[in-house]
Amino acid sequence: MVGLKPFVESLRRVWRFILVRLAYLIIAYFITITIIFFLPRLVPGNPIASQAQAIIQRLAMGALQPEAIASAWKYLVRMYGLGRPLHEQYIKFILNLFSGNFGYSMVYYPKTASELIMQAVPYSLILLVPSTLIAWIIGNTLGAFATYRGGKLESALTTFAVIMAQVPPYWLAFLFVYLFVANLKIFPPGEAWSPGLKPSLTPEFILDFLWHYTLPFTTIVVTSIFGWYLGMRFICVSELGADYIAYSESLGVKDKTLFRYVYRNSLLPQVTGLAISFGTALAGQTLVENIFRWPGSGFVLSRAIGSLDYPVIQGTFAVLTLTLFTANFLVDFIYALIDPRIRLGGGG
Amino acid sequence: MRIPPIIVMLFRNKKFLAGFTTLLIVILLGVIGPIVYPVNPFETIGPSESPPNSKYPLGTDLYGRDILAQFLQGIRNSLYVGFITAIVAVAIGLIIGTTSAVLGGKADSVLMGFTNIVMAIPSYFLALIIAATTPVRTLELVGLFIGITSWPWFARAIRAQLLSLKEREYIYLSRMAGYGWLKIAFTDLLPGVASYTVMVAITFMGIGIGGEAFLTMIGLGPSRVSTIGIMLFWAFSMEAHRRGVWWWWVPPGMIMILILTALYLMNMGLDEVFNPRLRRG
Repeated sequence: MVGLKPFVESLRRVWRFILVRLAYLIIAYFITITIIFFLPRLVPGNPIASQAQAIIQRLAMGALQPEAIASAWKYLVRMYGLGRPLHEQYIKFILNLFSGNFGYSMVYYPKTASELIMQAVPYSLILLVPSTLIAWIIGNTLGAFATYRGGKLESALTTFAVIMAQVPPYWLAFLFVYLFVANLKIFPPGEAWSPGLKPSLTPEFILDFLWHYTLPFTTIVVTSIFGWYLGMRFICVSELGADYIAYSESLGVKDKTLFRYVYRNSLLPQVTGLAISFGTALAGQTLVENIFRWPGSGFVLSRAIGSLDYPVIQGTFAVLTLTLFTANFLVDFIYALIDPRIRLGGGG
Repeated sequence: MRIPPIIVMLFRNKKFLAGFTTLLIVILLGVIGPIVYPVNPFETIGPSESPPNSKYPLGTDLYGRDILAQFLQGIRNSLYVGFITAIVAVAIGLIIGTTSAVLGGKADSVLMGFTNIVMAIPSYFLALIIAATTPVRTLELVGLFIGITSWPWFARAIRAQLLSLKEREYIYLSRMAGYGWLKIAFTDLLPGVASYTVMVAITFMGIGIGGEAFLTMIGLGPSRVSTIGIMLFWAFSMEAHRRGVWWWWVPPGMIMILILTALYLMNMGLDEVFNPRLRRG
C-alpha cells in the first residue's frame, strides 16, 4: 500500500505554490490600484476637483433647485474625499473600490462609472469569447495538421501565416469598414443593433444583431488564427524532436498514433494561452470595438481616456485587471494540479 | 578579417536574409527618404484629400498635407521608437535577470518577486497609465514607456538560462581559477545567451513599433511628429476608412505589416541557425 505521507507532502507543495502565486497577484493588484489612484492626482491642476466643479456648473445651467445643487456638491466632495489628506482619500478610494463604487462618470453624470462598465461588459464578452475560442480551435488544428502533412502545403501555409499574424486587428477593421461598409454597403456602419430596434429575443432582433456582429467577429477571428497556428507549429516541430518520439518510432508505432501524442502534448501550452486570452478578453480589443463602435468595455475605456473621464478609467482598469488576474490565477491553479514538477517538487 | 562561420551561415539562411534585406530597405526608406523628398509633412501644400497622382505620389490628407512626406518621416520615427524600446527592455531584462541568476539567495528572491509583480500588471495598461499622465510625449518617452513595461518575461528567461549555464563544468573551472562572479558573468555566462538576446531585441523592436501604434491610436501617442501610429490615428479620427480615402491608412498599415514580417523572418532564421534541432535540409 502506498503510504499517506508522500500524498500529504505533495498536497502541501501544491498549496504552497498556490499561496505564493496568490500573494504575488494580490500585491500586484494593490500596486495597480495604487497607480490608478495616483494617476489623476499626478496631473497638474487636480482634474478630479475641476471635473467635479464642471458637473456642478452643468447642473446649475439646468433648472435645478439650489438646494439640490448644494447637496450634489456635498455628495461629490464626500465621494472623492476632496480637501482631505491624500492618505484618507486613498483609503476611501480602496474601500469604495471593493464595494464596486468608482464614483460618477464625469462625462455622463449622473450615470456612475460602474453602471457604464457593467452595461458594456456583456458586449465585450459576447464578442470576444466566441471569436477567441473559434480562432484558437481553427489555428491549432490547422497548425497541427500542417506540421503532420509537411511538404509544400506546410511551407505555403506557414509563409501566409507569418504575414497574416502581423496584421494589426484595427487595420483589418479599417479594411473591412472600407470594403463592406463604405463601398459595398452590405454591412451596417457600426454599433450592436439598428437604431430603431429594442433588444429582445425576437428573430428580427437576433438577425439584426448578428448582422452587426459579423464584421467585428470576423476581424478578431482572422487576426488571431495565425498567431495560434504559428505557436502550434513551433511547439509541434520541437515536440517531434523529443526523445520519446524517436523511441516510439523505433518501436514501430504508427505515424498517426505518434502524431496523436505530439498533438496532445503540444496542446497544453496553448491551453494556457487560451486562458490568458480569455483574461484579457474584456480589454483585448479596445481599438476594434472602437472602430466598429461596438458598445463593449474597450469602447468605454477608449472614450473615457479621450475625455479624461477618470472615474470610468479607474473603474475599467480595476475591473479589467481583476478579471485578468483571476484568469492568471486559474491557470496557475490548474498547472499546480496537473504539472508533476510542482506536485513532486524540484524543477521550476 | 575573417567573417565568423556562424555569420556566414546566418546569411545563407533564406528566411534571415529575406527579413534582413527587407528591414534594410525600410530603414533606408526612413533615413534617406525624408532627405530625398524634403516636403514638410505638417504643412498644407495642396488640395484636401487628393488621391495619389504625379504631384503628390501618395496623395494628401484632409488638411492638404503630403502623405508621402508623413509616411517617410513616420517610418523613421516608428523604427526609432522600436529601437528605443528594444534597448530599454533588453537592458533592464539583462541586468535584472543576470543579477538574479548570479547572486542567487535573497537578491534573487527580491528581484524575481519584483519581476513577477510587474509581469502580472498588464503591460499596456501600465504604458497607458504612464502615457496618460505625461502631457508632452516625445518619441524617446513613448519608446521608454513601452520598454519599461515589457521586460519581465525576458528577465525571467535570462535568469532561467543562466541558472542552467551556471552548472556547466567550465564555470566550475573558472571559479576554481579564482575568478569573481562579475568576470564570470561577462566572460562565461553572457556570451552563452547572446544569440537569444539578439532574437529578443528583435522581438522587442516589433513590440515597440506595434505598441507605439496602439498607444497613439488610443490618443496617447508622441506629440508633434509623424509616426506610423500618428498617421493611422488621424486617418481614424477623420474617418478616412468610412469615406473611401484609402491612401491615408493603407500605406502606414502595409509598412507596419512589412516591418513586423521582416523582423519575424529574421527571428525564424536566427532560430534555425542557432537551434540546430530546427535546422532543415
